[in-house]
Amino acid sequence: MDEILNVQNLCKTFKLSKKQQKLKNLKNPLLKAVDNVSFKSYEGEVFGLLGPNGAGKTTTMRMIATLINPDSGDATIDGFSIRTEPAYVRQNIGFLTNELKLDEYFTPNYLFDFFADLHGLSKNTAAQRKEELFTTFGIDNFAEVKVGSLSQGMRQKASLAISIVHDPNIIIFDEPTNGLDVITAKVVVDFLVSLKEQGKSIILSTHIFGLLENLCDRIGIIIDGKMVACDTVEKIVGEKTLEDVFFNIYRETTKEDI
Amino acid sequence: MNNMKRTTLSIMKKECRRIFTDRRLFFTTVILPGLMMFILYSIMGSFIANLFAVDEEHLFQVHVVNLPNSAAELFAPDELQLQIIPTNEADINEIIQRLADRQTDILIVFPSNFDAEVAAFDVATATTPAPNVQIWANTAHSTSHQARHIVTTILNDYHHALTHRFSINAPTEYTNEDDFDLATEADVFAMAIGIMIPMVFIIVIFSGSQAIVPESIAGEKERGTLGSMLVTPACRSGMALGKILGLGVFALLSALVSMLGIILSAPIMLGMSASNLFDFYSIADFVLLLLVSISTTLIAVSLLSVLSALAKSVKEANAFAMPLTFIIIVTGFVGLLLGGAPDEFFFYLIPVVNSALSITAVFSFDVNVVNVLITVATNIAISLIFAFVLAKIFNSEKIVFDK
Ligand SMILES: Nc1ncnc2c1ncn2[C@@H]1O[C@H](COP(=O)(O)OP(=O)(O)O)[C@@H](O)[C@H]1O
Ligand SMILES: [Mg+2]
Repeated sequence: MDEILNVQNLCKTFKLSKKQQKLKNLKNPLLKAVDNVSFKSYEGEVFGLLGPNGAGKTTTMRMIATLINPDSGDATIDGFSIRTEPAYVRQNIGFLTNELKLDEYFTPNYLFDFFADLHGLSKNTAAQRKEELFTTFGIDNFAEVKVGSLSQGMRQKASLAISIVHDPNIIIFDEPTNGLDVITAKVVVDFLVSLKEQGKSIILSTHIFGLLENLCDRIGIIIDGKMVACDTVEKIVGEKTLEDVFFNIYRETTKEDI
Repeated sequence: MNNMKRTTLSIMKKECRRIFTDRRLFFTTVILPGLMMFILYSIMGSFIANLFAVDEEHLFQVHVVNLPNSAAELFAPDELQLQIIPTNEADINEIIQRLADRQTDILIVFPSNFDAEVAAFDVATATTPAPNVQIWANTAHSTSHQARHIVTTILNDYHHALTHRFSINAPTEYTNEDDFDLATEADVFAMAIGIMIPMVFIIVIFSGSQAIVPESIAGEKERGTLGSMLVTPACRSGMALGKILGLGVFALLSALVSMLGIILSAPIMLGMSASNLFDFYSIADFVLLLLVSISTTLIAVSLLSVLSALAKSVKEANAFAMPLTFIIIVTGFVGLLLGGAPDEFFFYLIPVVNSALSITAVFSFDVNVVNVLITVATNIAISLIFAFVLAKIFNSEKIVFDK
């Protein structure tokens, strides 16, 4: 199997402001959000990141997506280093999270062209992609309606289509169903499944155990910035359920009773 | 390089589309301010007139050549506040120069033997020309303007009392009636407008920018749409440049419409016809103004962009821009404080101040093209530095992805 993502010893420490420090009730202003995280993911596989809130999933994914720089360590995507070749990395990944939004003033049609432009696609390629994706997602019906007037589900479809306008090989989803109503969440899950069927590589973070068990080939469990377990789903889950396994590991690492 | 050009264009187009297709935004930030400027400025005209009113204590300096005994008492009453300064014929030219330089108020020239000539003049036959009295003044100079009014009223009454046995400011072969007023119409216009234009002009540019820049940059950050763009391989410098140019096009338009409002209201408030404006100012003047406007707009937009990018929210961005507004208003007065546009080039290396001075210079017919070009070049260079800083900010995770 071809390795598509190789994460090596990524570290990221945030210097907290006084206010952030107070909010988190921390004495130390330095917060080690990602602590020496390594994992590999292979072509056509879905890699799931699991961890409680604040574990460092988003920070890890943002480093991989070149939105923030690691303090140390590196990751390569399709052989391109996030540190030294961020522009190539950006060409090869799609990044989707609910924190990144589409401008409400514009229509899906316009935004699709706009992002195609930012990705440097030719007019022809962009038109072809648009036709393809708009049909798949059923966006044609509302392609000329401003995003601000769209329902959550429609918006999500537009976001999904636009996040893969450049047909990336590897797609990173940070809690893609977080905060969505069930119908919209289903749109996202269906999309994930279809991407997997197309043989795309996916990195996914989510709280939803079922999704991880059904969809993922490999799972990494992050707690307090550290990768505490990382293997194929079968090896991690074994005879139990992912939920049980996760809470066992959580109790062991944090010594907390839950 | 290709990426940068493409990104700049896409972002610029998007910014323009955002603003030009939003009718409400367009109306409130382009049309409305222009309209307001026109109305406000027309009304303000009357206040300006008051501003130039002469203070009540002022003693008018009245130079009189050959004051006849018969007329002396006319100027005497204390309440007229006229200080009569007997003057020799030989000094007439010097006094006229001083009038032009606004150093004195008025000059009245009687013929040397006025009383005798009046007595000899036969109104019925009028075989010889009537003795003529000249009143020299500079109406662009407020006290001179007022003094002329007082003196003319007195002499007109006297003219009637003497049953038209003399004339006032009769044209001769050397002079015609208008020449006795040393103010040119352009002078009047420049005086009224030169004081306020640079300040209003700069405020208009900055307020136009402020209406859109925080919303576009801090707003995009706040709403998470900036992050969506940063995920793409789009060139960061191109993004910065595209933002600044796109917002700049609009801010410039907004400023120009406001300027148009001011310029169109100016002749109205001064009681002239609009076409006069083009008699005073050449196309070259307008081109210089446009260049100054463009470069000043770039400064305003790029500076506000940097401030907005540093802010966490639109609200914070607007708060950051507040102190700037005060600085800008103060800057607008620089021309006034310096008593016009100085000639030394180094004044034109200070951004925004240079714009105020250049505009003052153009409007007061005192323009030094080199200085205006220094202004434009300085402002563009500084805008580019801000664009560079903005690109750095777009690349800085601390600022874009801070919690
Ligand atoms: N920009 C930032 N500044 C300060 N602290 C941050 C920043 N981003 C994340 N953190 C902190 O780092 C930790 C990991 O956050 P995150 O990666 O978002 O966790 P997760 O996505 O697993 O919930 C959290 O404690 C979070 O508050
Ligand atoms: Mg997260």
